[in-house]
Amino acid sequence: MGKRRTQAKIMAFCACGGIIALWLGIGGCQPEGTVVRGPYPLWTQQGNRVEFPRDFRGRVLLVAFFYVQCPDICPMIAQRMLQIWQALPDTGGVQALMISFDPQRDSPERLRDFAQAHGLPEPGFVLLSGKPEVVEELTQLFGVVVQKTPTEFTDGGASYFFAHSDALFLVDGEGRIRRRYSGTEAPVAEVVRDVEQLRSEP
Amino acid sequence: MRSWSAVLLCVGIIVGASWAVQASVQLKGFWARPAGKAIPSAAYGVIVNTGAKADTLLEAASPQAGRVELHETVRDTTGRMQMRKVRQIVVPAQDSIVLRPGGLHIMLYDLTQALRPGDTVQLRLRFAQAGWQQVACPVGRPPRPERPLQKERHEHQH
Repeated sequence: MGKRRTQAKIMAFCACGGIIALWLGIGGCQPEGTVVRGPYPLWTQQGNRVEFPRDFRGRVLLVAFFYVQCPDICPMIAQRMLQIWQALPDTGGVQALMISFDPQRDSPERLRDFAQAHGLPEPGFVLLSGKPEVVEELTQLFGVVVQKTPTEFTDGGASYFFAHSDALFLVDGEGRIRRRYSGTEAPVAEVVRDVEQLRSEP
Repeated sequence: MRSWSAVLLCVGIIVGASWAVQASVQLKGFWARPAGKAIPSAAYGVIVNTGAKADTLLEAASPQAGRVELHETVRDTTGRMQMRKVRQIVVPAQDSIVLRPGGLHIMLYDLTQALRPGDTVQLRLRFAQAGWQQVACPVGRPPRPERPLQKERHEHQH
């Protein structure tokens, strides 16, 4: 009897431990509250060097991660950001940043090509990339999962794709990640409201 | 001699009728994403099968793209988005298949030139029954705000 009770206690303990571990694990993926310090050196679609987030301090940032070669999801994220941008009553003090996690291919010229193809207005939208290790650190900080996928496509594997998170972030003027939304399905009215609220913060 | 003519006529009618039934795929609302020369584009639209038999989309081609492939974007259990190649897409009889952002789509690689809003992409789709069908895809933004990803009813093989 005593032995059974001990077993039950152990099982309950393990179950609690498991739940806590799971909670911590999930919690660990939530970047909200994280302060982006850096500064992370990046290049823009104009070929200019910037320090992120230092050079954008004081502005409310809409931040998404993408790659130019992405034909379906990243353009959807870009379109959703554009919808949000166009729905903002005032874009003063707001900046949309799209950071490429494919720096090997995404030269300033290709970033510019993407911005032009998808009608992303300047200077509101800044497309960025940087050294692989810098970009990797940033994606990890934001909890964005990026995995290069070997492709089954017909060019003998010369091109590659990424499996990646579908996310959009709201970062405040201090560089603190305030919210994470789905990138392709971000609720436009809600994001606009959140941006307005951050803009009105002292 | 007359009986042979009757047989031939019957065969002709049957073949003609079945051909008419088979060529019953309609391509509606097709459009393609703007793209730079080095950036792939994707085409979307609705394939309607008004026939009494299922048909299967086997391949696609375009004079404006070096490679054209059938793909599907899928969301895995962790919320990650991934693309995979689709070998064929079955369009059931009296039914339709929607190619849409975040779902099934036709990928256009190695474009001969950049695609800007206002341009048109000529797309050819080969069906098992209906053969090659052509559709002009205006290049532009999605016709309406892109909808959340929903599970479309479709059957296809990877």
